[in-house]
Amino acid sequence: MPFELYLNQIVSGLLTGLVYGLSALGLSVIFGVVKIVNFAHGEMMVIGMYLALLLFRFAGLDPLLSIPIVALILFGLGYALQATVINRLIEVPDYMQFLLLAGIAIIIVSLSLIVFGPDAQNVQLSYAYDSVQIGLLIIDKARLLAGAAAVGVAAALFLFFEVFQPRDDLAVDSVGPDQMRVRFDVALGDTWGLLDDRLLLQPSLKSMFSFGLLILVLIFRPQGLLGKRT
Amino acid sequence: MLNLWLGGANPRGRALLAGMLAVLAAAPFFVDSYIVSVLILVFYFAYLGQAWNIMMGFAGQLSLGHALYFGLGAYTGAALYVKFGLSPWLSMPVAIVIAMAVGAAIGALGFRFRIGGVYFALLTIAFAEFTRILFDHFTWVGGSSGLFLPVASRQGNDLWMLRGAPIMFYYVWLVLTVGLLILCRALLASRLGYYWLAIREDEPAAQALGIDTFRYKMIAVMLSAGLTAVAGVLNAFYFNVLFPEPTFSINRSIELILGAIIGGVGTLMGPIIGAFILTPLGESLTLIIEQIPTGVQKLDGLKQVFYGLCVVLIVLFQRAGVWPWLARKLRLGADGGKGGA
Amino acid sequence: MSLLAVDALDLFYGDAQALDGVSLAVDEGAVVAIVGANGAGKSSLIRAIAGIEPAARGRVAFKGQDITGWPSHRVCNLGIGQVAEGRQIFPTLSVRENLEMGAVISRARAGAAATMRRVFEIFPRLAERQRQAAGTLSGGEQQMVAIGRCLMGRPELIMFDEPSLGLAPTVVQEVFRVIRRLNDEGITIILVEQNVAVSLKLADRAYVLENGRIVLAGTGEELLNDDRVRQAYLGL
Repeated sequence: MPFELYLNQIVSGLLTGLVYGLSALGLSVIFGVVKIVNFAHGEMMVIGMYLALLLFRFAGLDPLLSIPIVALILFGLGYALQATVINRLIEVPDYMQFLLLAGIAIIIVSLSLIVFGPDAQNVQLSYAYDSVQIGLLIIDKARLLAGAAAVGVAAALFLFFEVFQPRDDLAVDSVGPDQMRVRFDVALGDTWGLLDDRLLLQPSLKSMFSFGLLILVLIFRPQGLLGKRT
Repeated sequence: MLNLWLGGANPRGRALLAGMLAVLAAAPFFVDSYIVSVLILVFYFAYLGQAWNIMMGFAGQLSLGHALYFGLGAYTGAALYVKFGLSPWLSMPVAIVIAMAVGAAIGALGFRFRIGGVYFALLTIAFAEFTRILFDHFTWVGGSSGLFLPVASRQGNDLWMLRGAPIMFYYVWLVLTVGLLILCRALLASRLGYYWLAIREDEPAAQALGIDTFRYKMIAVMLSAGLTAVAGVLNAFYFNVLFPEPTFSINRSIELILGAIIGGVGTLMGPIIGAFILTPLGESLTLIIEQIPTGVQKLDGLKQVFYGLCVVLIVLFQRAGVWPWLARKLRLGADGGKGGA
Repeated sequence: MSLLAVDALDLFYGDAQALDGVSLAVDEGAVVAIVGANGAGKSSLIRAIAGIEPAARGRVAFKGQDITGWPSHRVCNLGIGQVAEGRQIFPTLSVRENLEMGAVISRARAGAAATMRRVFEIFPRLAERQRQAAGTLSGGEQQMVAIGRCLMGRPELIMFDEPSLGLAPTVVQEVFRVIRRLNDEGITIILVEQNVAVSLKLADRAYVLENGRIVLAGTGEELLNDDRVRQAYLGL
């Protein structure tokens, strides 16, 4: 009975989920503040990952340490995007915004494909294969650190809203800082990102499951799995 | 407005259209095979943009998952040919029925549960991606290692089996594209087109007036899906090879709506004009890149960047698309180009 | 027998209850006002009657026929029209095209030309502007388009949802004059209004809706003199 295997799998899934969760938090902050579904969100996360990769390769910077730098760069990028493009779209129909961001997403993905090639890239951390053992649990150190950092950033985000309580009329102006926090997660991506998942499911079937879940959520709980129906 | 929407060609516009058609019909006799292949690409964009336009442009329902119907058509046609030797003309009705059924299922889910706007678009993407991965594991049609159609022998053109030279495909595409234009024009002039117009302009208002919005949205989705599948079949026989990834991917979904977006969503001529603008630009880009020694591998990526850029620029600077602007400039509209937004 | 009878209607938006056991009767030829605060469920009631929102429980009958659960297009074709909140005109269509859209249901199609003449007679301004895009009209003119478009469907009952919202006082008077006139011509009216005083004066019968429940019912005059209404809605 591979009980430990399942347990380990669940824990590592949860840690990965924390990073995804932070990313999703960023998405919903953007939506909450500017009412735009940022179709290019994942793609901007990809930029963050590659930035962390570059900083590691050429400056030897541990991705965890490059978080502030990457966050700052993406803050600037998000700000520029907001100021030059998205602000012009406040009044246009939803689908136009969506198409525009889909266009931006394609540009980002294709450019990164051109620049970095189609192969998976890895950050060769000295502790990439280290693990922490707690009883039966064996957890990847990188994954654990990424998960912890995600929780930390999310906590900082909630604290920020607690302290500043942005007013509604500030909505558009406050998007900059929001996007910054959105991007913290970005740098974390590759600390765990391209390590083999050793999953119980084949990876591609796993994403089919994700899309299936997305369909079900869209249909039956458009307010989200945990949200309250209004 | 309604006039523009109906294509609204005045005698001048109609003459221009007839002239264009004559040139296209004669073109293969005068131009080389490269130009023929580029024009086939133009028809591809024009036809698919038009098919998508029925759903988005006419009925106002955004689909970003049309690769699904395209792929279902492609795989249906190819599989029935490879496995059973069935003519594409016979498999087309099957493909249409399958795509319409899937479109109906997605539409019914989306409209019944009132998934609106952007969320409906997300739903269409999710279904397309789901299907893409499904086909990766669908080994009967080759799974992720692809499905190959036996390449045509050089013995002339077999129109029944769609085996032959690009010129044959050129005329098939041309006929289909013109046919779809005529069909769409008839649709818009019909009561159905009128209902779609109301739904697109203001759906709650349309509903309040007693228009069965669910029904007419469903008709739009199913028509659009079925017509898109036809292009899928044709494309499979033209390229002879199918992989789930490029066939069903979101990139394909974006690609096949580019003509309509650039030309003008919701207009009849928009997708056609858009295709004629987009394709030559894309091809020139290709030619330029080919001059660069290391450029060839990056070709695909750069084309995607170009497509993405097209969308961004259109949304930012010419939201209604190029055609309404062009029609005004060239005074092709029924109102002689005065006003009419 | 009432023209329209609503019996113990419950309506939910997800987990939130919008209507809670609402019952009311609308006699033929009457003006019935429904008043209440924002979010009390007034619009929900109209939408439930129109078949746009499916009711969880309860019954709606029109001319004695049970129409509960009927889709909106069938309800509309029975002769129940509505002028929705916020006017909802088709902005890029001309005034005339807007009006034509009102006559798509089968009960109205045949006589559309005659109906349009009548609409133009009621709203001469629309006749002058029939080629103009409706989105370029003033708020008051847009409201006329919305009412005219509803008339194109030859309704026997019209449900008005906040017809005076966001209009200038003189225009509001005009709108109420038109409503009065339509009623004089035999059309039954359900009037949802924030302008409580005016709508109660106009009403033969009125209901007060609070948190999805009817808390008070009576003739317009009774409610006008009711202390609770005077306090809560008339600020007296």
